Amino acid sequence: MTSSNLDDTRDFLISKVLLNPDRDADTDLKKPLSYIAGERIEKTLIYVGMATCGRIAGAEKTYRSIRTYLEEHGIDAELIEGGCMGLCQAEPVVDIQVPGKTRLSFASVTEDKVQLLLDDVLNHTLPDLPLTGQYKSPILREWEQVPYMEDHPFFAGQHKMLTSNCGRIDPVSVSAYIARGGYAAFSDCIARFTPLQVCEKVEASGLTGRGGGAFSTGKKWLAASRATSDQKYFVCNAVESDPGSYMNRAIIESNPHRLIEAALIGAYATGANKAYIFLRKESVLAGERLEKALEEARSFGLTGHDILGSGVNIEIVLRRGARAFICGEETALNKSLEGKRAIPAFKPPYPPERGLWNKPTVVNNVETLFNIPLILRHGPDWFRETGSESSKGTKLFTLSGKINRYGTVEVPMGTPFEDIVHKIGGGVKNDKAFKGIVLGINSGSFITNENLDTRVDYDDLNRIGGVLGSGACVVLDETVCMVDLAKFFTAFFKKESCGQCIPCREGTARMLEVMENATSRPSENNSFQTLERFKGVMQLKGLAAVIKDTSLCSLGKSSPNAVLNTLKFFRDEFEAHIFERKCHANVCTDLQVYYIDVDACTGCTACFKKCPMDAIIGSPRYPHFIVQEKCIACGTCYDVCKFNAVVIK
Amino acid sequence: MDYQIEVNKNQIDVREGESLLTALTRNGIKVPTLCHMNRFSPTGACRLCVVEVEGRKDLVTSCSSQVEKGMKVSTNSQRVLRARKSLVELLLSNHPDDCLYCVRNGHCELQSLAEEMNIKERKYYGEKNTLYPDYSSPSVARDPAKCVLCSRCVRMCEEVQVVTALDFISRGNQTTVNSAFNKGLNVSTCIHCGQCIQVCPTAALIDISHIEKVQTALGSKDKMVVFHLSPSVGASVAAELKMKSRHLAMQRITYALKRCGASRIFNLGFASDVNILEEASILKARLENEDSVFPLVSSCCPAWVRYAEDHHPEILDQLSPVKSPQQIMGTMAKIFCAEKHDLDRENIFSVSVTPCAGNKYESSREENTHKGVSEIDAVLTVRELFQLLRSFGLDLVQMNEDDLDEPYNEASAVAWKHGYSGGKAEAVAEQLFYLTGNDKKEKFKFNPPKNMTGRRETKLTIGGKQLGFAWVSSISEAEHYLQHLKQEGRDDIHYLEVMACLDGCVGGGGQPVSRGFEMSRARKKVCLEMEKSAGKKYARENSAVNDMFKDGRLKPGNELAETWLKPVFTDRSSD
Repeated sequence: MTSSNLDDTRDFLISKVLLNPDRDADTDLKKPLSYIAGERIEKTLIYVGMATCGRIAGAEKTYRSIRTYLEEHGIDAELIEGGCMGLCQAEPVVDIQVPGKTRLSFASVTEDKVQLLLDDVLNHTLPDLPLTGQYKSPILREWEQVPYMEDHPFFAGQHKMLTSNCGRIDPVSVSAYIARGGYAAFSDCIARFTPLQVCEKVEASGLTGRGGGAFSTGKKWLAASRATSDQKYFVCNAVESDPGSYMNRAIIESNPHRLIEAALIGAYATGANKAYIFLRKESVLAGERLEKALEEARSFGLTGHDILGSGVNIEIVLRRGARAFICGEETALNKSLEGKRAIPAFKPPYPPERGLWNKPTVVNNVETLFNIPLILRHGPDWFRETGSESSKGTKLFTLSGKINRYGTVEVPMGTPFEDIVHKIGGGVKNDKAFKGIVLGINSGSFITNENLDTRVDYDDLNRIGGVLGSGACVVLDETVCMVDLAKFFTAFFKKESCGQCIPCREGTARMLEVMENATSRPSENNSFQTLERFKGVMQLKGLAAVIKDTSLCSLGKSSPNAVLNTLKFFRDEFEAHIFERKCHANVCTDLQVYYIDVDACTGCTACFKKCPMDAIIGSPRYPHFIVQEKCIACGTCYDVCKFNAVVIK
Repeated sequence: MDYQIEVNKNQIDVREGESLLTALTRNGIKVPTLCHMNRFSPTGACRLCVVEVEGRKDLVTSCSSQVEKGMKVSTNSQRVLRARKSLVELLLSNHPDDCLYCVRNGHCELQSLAEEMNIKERKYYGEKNTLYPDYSSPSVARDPAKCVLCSRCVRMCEEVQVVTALDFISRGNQTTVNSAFNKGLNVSTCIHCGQCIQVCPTAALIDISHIEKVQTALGSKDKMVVFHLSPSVGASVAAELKMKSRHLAMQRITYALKRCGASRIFNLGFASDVNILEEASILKARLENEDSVFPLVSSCCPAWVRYAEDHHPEILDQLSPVKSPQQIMGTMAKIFCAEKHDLDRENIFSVSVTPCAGNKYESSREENTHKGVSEIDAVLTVRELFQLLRSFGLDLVQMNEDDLDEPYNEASAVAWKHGYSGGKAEAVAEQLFYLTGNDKKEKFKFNPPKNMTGRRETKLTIGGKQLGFAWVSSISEAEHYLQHLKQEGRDDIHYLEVMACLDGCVGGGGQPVSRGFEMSRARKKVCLEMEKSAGKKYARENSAVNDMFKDGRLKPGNELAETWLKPVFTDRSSD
């Protein structure tokens, strides 16, 4: 597009769409908007899934080879760096829409398949390549014998509200977002509603914080809105550091404008003229796209001074946080924004009373904010239609682990976890036995086979003694050792503790040592060490309870959850490690005992020569023997034996 | 009292808006805490002050929660006691087990907590962090291994002294309190005030000890050991031992030190008198000179001088060009003893006993040595004085008295004024009043503001001119006051007294470690009493001072005044 074209589009979108209160009823708008949105096209449109998940799978190479193909063949097509449509497993994803026909989504298009793909599709035939499906459209002709995207088992159980634009549009383009209904909620807010009305609408929707706290977002906003101060701040918490979750990063990468719109609405509603988006530094691509998106929004006059002529001033600042899990805690995040060491402060006072630079501040999670434009556009009642009795709306999960289909999943509140694992996820990988789901490190809760019918609902999870957490959903199978997992979680907390309060700082280190004791081969097998091991495990529960009881911040309080829940649900595994000294999942290699099968051993001396500890004795041509006291379970003998005479017990 | 709340099934009176900890403490209910400090904002970091509040899911820290109507609190339930005990056990699990070799053995807060919690066996065995001590500073030694990360020193350094020489480094259980980039305190922004030692609950922050040095000198045959006793030390000892006859404190210390083998014990108050007289003359001279820039700022506090050198090179000209009492004393004592006993200066070992940690640093400054011989060879803080006497088997509680040695045995009331914030400003004003030779009708009256929480300044009419005198204690106050003077463009303040420690030397970094500020108040009370009972009211009445001026040894502009008693201020802002 030329610059005058761009200006025309901008003027059209601002005057006819954003500033037009009857935009939804105006049928004349539909056609031009569908062109801008990329639904109706004049030339072929190719989207390459270039979110982080796509790039890891090699989307950059695919993108380059598509560009070369187009140049070589002199084809005039539009090539767009798209976002992630959720099914990360299908990456690199290439979506192609030829004029007049619906959009197709191809999976696993590595660079060598580009030639085949484009040769066929551009000639209106289907190539022999894995195809996820086609997007339904009322105005376009459909491909024959191609299933719809929403009928794909991964998408069939989902309800796409927050992720409706993800993977569908050019992420950084403000015009594409506006054409698909974006920024309308914000322009309505500043034109028609008072800040208090906006807060009340959000409160009426029943939206709760998705970061893990599940506090009513509307109540938080109202508290900040009522606070009297010369300066207020609005902060978006995009420090998603929970291992096993990346849905916030994915939706920012795929639709940054919605976050900007939500931050603008939030700032307007709470009376803040400055909104910070605090992004973790590792989310490089999300940062780049947010920067570009902010630039585009600024060029449309959507941020900054006198927005859309309404007299409202809101500045949006993107800040990148140093790598720290603790920055996800709102008071620590505020400290970090102030340029200080990120350590949590006690509450009350809560940030809406006294937050950033001691001014009233609202801190909201990315996923929470993605709901805001929808609530204001369609109304709180529309929002309440989705979800369970007590929890409204949808919930994003990062489905990962030992599962057949993984990616970002959006399900309505009230969906049983069973559906997520078996329907959306397609069951456990390699037909292994299902052991459980762990809902991220933040919550440390487990869903086991017995309570797999639990629904995604704050009350339901409470009933089984769990917390929903931020949205990681890691599926575990029988090959996972739960003690090892608890060890991993505790090691994470030990490393990421801010170091301020005693229980979290010292307690996590001691918990980890107890578990390391239980999973490691004792240096000497004397009674003192055995006693220590037993004593440690006996103390583990009490110690975890004290940490939970006395830690300063919510992250400290949640640090022993994984240990407590492992003890609750998988006590037998713990006991096997301590009493039998066995790891049934064969993960804790230190506990493995190596034997030589005297019948199979030929006395070749290969193991004898390689053993680093001189733990193998025997003479050539006679069966060898492993001295257990010397063995460190390194596995060298197992690897070198050609006769399968070394056995692990 | 506003209303009552229920604590352990009893009713206690509370005030609206106060913290639970304050209310409990006032009502005699002891709640242990490590991180709490009066006058400071709570951090809630140590979690030891947890109590159980009915209706709350988790335990709450009493330092950070306010009292509420209808509150039902339990401070000693099973859950609370278990939590507190576990917390101390956790701290101990990462603490070196060398109480026997520890400076704070016997008066360590962690040790007494462990005792209070009835911890009699080791619960958690585990790996301890390997951390190394830092002895780089001339005044403050750090041992991070003993640190419990209560952040008291950090807050003191940041909020009161605004230099932030200490802060947290690293995360998780690797966290330490350290100087910038872990480079050692000597190259940090430390101003050697020693307030961090005052607030440290363990031995993570201690003195750079001079005891060994002093002991060696006392045992050496060819050294003449001369002690200089600061009047503030007398006040400190009197307050610490709760002595009834307070005026005898100095004499008791003298007797004890003589038993240790000291040759001469001088009164450092003599030098304070000299310092006041000089400073008043300088102020007078500057008032007569029209080009002078005001205020004249006191320079007797080494920590303040260091701060000014580091951060305010522009006011170095305004610092009063008189050495601090300690250095005047050191100079005079060495000159006197060398002459009188025909000794080399090297063979005189001069020890000052002061309530100041910064004096150790001051004595090591280059300009305070002459041809490689220091004016002051060792500095003992009050803490170290007690330790020294203990090691000689001497107990100040049962001790005879002995007089201090001539010629420097006298101190006027003014010397005691040096001990607390505001005292010196008054003394300088009085001396100036005397010097300007007012007609007999005027009477000197120093009116400090009634409300001491506000700005501390007063106006006096001296010689028909209205003069402003101000005093601040702590660097944050000094910084704010200087900013204020600059911003408002004020020129009505002519003299500013700065003390780096809270409340002045009575709250000095070398005082016995005590929690809270009660002891510094008690010390100030002793100072005020001693002032009243002092035989000589004014510095000019001190006979040793008068002799010094009379025999022509010290004259304005002569060698002694110009080279020996003149301080050097160096611009260190670029360091």
